[in-house]
Amino acid sequence: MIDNLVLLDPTPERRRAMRGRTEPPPSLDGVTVGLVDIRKHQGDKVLDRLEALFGERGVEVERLAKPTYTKPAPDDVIDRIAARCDVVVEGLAD
Amino acid sequence: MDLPDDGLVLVLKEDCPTCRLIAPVAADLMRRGDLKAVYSQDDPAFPGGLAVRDDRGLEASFALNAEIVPTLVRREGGREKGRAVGWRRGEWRTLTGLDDLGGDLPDERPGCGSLSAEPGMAEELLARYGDTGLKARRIGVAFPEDPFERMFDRDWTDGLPVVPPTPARVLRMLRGASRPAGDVVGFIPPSGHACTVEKAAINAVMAGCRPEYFPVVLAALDAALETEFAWQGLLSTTMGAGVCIVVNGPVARRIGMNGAFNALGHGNRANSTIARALLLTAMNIGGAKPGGVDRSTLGHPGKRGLCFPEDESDPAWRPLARSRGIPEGVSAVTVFGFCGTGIVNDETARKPEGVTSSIALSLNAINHPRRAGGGMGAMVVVGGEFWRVYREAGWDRAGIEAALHKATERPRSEIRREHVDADGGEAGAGGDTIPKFAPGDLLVVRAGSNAGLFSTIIQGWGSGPKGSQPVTREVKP
Amino acid sequence: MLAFDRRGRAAVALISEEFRTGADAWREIHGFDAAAVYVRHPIQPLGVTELHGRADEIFDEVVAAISR
Repeated sequence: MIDNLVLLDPTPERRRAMRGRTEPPPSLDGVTVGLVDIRKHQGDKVLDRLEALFGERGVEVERLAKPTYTKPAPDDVIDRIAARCDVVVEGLAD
Repeated sequence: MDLPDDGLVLVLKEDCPTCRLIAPVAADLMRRGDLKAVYSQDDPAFPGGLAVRDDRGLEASFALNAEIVPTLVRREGGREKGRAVGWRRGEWRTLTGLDDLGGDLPDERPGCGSLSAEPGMAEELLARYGDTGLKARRIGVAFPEDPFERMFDRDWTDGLPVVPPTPARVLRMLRGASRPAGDVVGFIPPSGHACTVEKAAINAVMAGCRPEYFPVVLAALDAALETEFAWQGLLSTTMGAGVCIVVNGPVARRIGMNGAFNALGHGNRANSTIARALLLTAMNIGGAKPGGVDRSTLGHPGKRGLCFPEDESDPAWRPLARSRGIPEGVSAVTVFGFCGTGIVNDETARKPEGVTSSIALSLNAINHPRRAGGGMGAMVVVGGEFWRVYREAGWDRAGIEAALHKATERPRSEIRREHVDADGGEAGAGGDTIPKFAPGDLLVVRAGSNAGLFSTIIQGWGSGPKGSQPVTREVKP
Repeated sequence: MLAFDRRGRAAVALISEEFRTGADAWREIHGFDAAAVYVRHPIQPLGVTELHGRADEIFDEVVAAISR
């Protein structure tokens, strides 16, 4: 008899169920948009222009930043950002 | 398996002179004693003339925990009441209650090693017949499927074949270290899935590690998972970064690492597989797949992992780990995120200043020659002959490091303003020169053979608090 | 992204078009259907005016991603 070989799974063995995102507000009236710079080179310039475009439409903007794009931001930084805006635009990843 | 609950059972093998010697005793015990079963580990026709049970699968030998053959065990109600190992007439007579047993045999003969006690067999039998305690999902590969192809199909590899992680191999790997299989080593980026010691062992098996390397793998994982190492960034960057592991202390020699000829190259199993274990862990648990979350534009051969021991043979050289706070005689790993290697060639080098200048010129080119002010790191691997030049002039590690910092300062006019890193730029503010490297961003280590006027520059990735910082961790048994 | 969402803040990531597959892989391994607006590549070598142009191109999509 030739035994079947047994292998042990090297992966986490679970695919995470896909979770939907938080529903955005119906409109941007009275909403503060957080423009979060992840600190990649050049991203700030794109955010500058978005800030101006939101401003032209009377939308409140907060400029915020993560410490570095190289690692996840610490919880307290995320808490501070979340406290200062209602929705988040984060960039720019390239 | 139908191991009798009561009476005597005997385990033996034909390929053992003592077993052959006591074969008539076995027949005698069958006739007038309460010998209920004879298990043969090799030839099911041995001893001839008896109803022998075939134990070539070693299930009974495993269940009886036979280390030597012959082993005679008395059982009562499914439990062991006594055993005799090898041939000692007195013991056999006591155990069997027959005071004339084996009268024509010598008083005693040592037994032979049980096949179930051969090296590596314990884990094999535990995996087959026992409770391994392993939690990972078991995936069967049915004959005649090729397990190596199945592992490629499942996307478990880095592109090279991996060793099939069978339960027995994983058990042996786990026994190479003392951490319990269920302990969580950490959460592997980029996915953040938990990695248990068992999962790390599975990936270490696949990488080709031997069990004695496993404490080094675990220490390297501990180091890589420290926030300041920014493993997530290294695994996803377009710049293409790998993990370099420098091993210090007695463990390097104990596991047979190579810090001399071709130390940074191929040919040594420990050097070649320890960092690969980290890569496979990142790929299989962290989900860092090229073209997926791994965005490396080009990558580099060292992304497979680079691991070498520092050459600590010269007492004049203070090893890297000691310079980073690890006590003498304690083994440690230092992880360093890197983007490739390049050689410094100065076959005319005679004086330390000249060697320093040669290394510094090459260091100035990394990342971009007109970029300075910190924000990137490098490790300089000083080869044997460069070290000879330094040592003869009385230089040590700290002196070399300081000289390299000084020699890599750049005239401000040669540096592009946009390439002065926001963190490091201040360091040279106002002066005519800008340091290429921020303090702590240059590591100097010793490796390589003693012939050849070369050193190697291992180019770092982004450095400092916003990038990846080297991390040193002790190797625990 | 996930961290903001967990705090009840709808979020959208601005990502280079070249990273579309990376974003898909990220969604897969994190199990989170993150919103993204893709920006035309390249970005790194552009001047300020060109970068502002990139922002103009995506602005409507950004607004759509953060409001219903």
